[in-house]
Amino acid sequence: MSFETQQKELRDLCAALLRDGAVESVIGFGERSDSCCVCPPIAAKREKDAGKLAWNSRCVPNLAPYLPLRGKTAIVAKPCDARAVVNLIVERQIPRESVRIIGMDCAGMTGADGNPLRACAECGERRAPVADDIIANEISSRRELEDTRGEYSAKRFKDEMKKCILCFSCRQACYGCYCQTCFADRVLPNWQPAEPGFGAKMTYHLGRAMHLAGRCVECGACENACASGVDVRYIIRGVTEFIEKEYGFRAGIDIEASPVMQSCSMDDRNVGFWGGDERE
Amino acid sequence: MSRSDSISRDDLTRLLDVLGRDMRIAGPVKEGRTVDYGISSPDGLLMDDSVSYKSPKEFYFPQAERLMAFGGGTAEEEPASEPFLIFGVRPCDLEGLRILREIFLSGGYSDPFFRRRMENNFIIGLGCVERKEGCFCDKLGIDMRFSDFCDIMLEPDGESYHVEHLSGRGRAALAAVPQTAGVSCGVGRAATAPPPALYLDENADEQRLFGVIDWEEAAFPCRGCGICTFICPTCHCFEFKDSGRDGVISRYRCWDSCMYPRFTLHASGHNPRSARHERYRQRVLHKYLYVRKNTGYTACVGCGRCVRHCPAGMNIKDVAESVMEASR
Amino acid sequence: MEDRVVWKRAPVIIAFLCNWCSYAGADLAGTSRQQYPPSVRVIRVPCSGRVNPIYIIKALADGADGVMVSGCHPGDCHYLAGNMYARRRFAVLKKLLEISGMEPDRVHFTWVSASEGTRFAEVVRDVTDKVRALGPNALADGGSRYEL
Repeated sequence: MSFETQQKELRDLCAALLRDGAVESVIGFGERSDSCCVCPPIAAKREKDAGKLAWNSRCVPNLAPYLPLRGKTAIVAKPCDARAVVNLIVERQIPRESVRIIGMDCAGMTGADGNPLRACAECGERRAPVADDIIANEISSRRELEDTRGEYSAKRFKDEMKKCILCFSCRQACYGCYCQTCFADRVLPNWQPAEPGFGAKMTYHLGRAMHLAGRCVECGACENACASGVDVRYIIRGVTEFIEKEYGFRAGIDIEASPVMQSCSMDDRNVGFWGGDERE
Repeated sequence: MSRSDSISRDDLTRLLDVLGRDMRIAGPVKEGRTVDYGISSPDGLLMDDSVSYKSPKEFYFPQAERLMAFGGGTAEEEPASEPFLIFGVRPCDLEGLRILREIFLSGGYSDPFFRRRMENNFIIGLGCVERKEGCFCDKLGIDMRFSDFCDIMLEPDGESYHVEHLSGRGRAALAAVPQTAGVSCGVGRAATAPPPALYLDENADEQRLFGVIDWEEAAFPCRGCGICTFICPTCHCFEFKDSGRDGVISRYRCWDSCMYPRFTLHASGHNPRSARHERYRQRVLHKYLYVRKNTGYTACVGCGRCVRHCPAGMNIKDVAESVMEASR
Repeated sequence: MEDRVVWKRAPVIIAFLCNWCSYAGADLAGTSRQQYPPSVRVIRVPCSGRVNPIYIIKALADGADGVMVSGCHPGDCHYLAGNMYARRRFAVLKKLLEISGMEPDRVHFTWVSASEGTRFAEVVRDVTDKVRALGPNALADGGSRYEL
């Protein structure tokens, strides 16, 4: 099995779905226009458009932010895309019945240089946890997962922030950043100082990390979008790990779950509180 | 090409050392996984064929520039910027700076901040050896090896560089170093590139171009992140922001992006370009039509940055080509 | 960190206190003549659940030396569960600040009821000592807004 067979299966399935009217459109990846580009997302609306759908190692973008489209929509979903869609359903952003998840077994995507993307090299997910269809692929050689967690220090954070130019691409690429007006764009109150200095970058990145707490699906869209090469994901990743350990929650795995930060329990521990971590 | 016009990498470093006594030197440097323009000693500069992900426009038109400060009954304008040397600017970026100069300094108003920086800067251009992935400067009539919008132009020639001076300052700088004292003048040399193949007719009817292709489909992948406008050598839209601290208000001029929904948001709440495809259409037509109508230049230099870095794999060249073909 | 911490001014600690418990607790500390350092700047909020984590991030980015948030004990919230939502949020925020290299002792969360004036004074004394030991907040650029 390979990308080619998966691509053929995908095109056949989508052609059938569009022909039968099971869905009004399919969000998938189109052919890339240049070898350095990623595959651009497209919406196939007619049966013949299904032939334009591509599946290869450069299907990098997360497609979940392109939802919702008018009518029932099928979405070509890598495991991370599927988790994002599930979390959007959990957060009541899209109704379950409006979307058909076509889960693509995925061994990880690559960058323009052919090397695995950083997020993909750290990802062990090979199949969408929730899907309506599965386009299977025997992924035999399970890669050793890389641990790029690194140390957590003020120096590292400042070095990363130095590279940031506050273009907010990471926010735009993120499936979870669907606020109508981002706090960083607000004028009253104005959280972001006008100077693109450390204070502004810290406010943005920590604020965004808080908003993504328990919602990040580790798709790496933020760092793939970053032209400046900022490791924007490491702080959110640390939070995601903490939430999994402390509250046993991973975003986008369970379609019946309630969002972790919108829940609470008398049994929660006072982690990091004054006077210790004891339970009240 | 006479022998005296060729300098070695060591001589080039020597020249930069001499020039660095009077001004700070910026140029392409390695920043982690990316290449960016940065302040560096001559040894730290990348002199190979690597291209920075950002354009050099920030040295003339910084991302956030403090224009003035006021408060407590006083107001002061920012002092003039210090002299700068920018090394390793590619021909496409040099043409981009030429377009920015046209926009900021010609016409009814001349921007004093941009002008002071332009006067204070010394540019050393560096020709490309090969076309990078995503680049399409050839389609826009730009010679990837040469541009005269600089003080000194270098063209890589194996291990050494062919060098020419293109301004009085450039000649004086080269004369200060024995190894480069005799190089010839490149003024008047024509760039060798085919005429632009990708352009829109400047008399084209805007309303018609709105309908020649399906903009909604063309802009479908766009997330509106605006990274294309940040790294573009010719994008120049800005907004003003005031920031108060301890009773002093600082007024900043900051980059803005036509890809942001708030870019055209009126105080009334009305937004003339509320849909993403309208904003994308604006970006393409601004580059290929509106600036051309105003200044005669196509405001795209084919540097390929937006193509390489678009997180959604969009390609402005393909879109512009399809508009051009459809409008014929 | 430097060996010796130099303070040229008093530390500034922003304290977000919930209206129903901790603010009243602070009141009680005052009326019962409890001694505590004048380092806190109190901001009264309806509930600890009202404290947006961005308030805390912004305070630190703007140069506050420390931030403390205090609300009703779990189970006593005037709005039933506001403080328990806040508890998760604060646990995550504390972790986040730790990851980004912020000294953990700059930010404190605690529960103080309306009858715990003594506890309020104790918290402020201890938080001030901890912040004082860390030195002024050097994180914000442009120096502290509270420079005297």
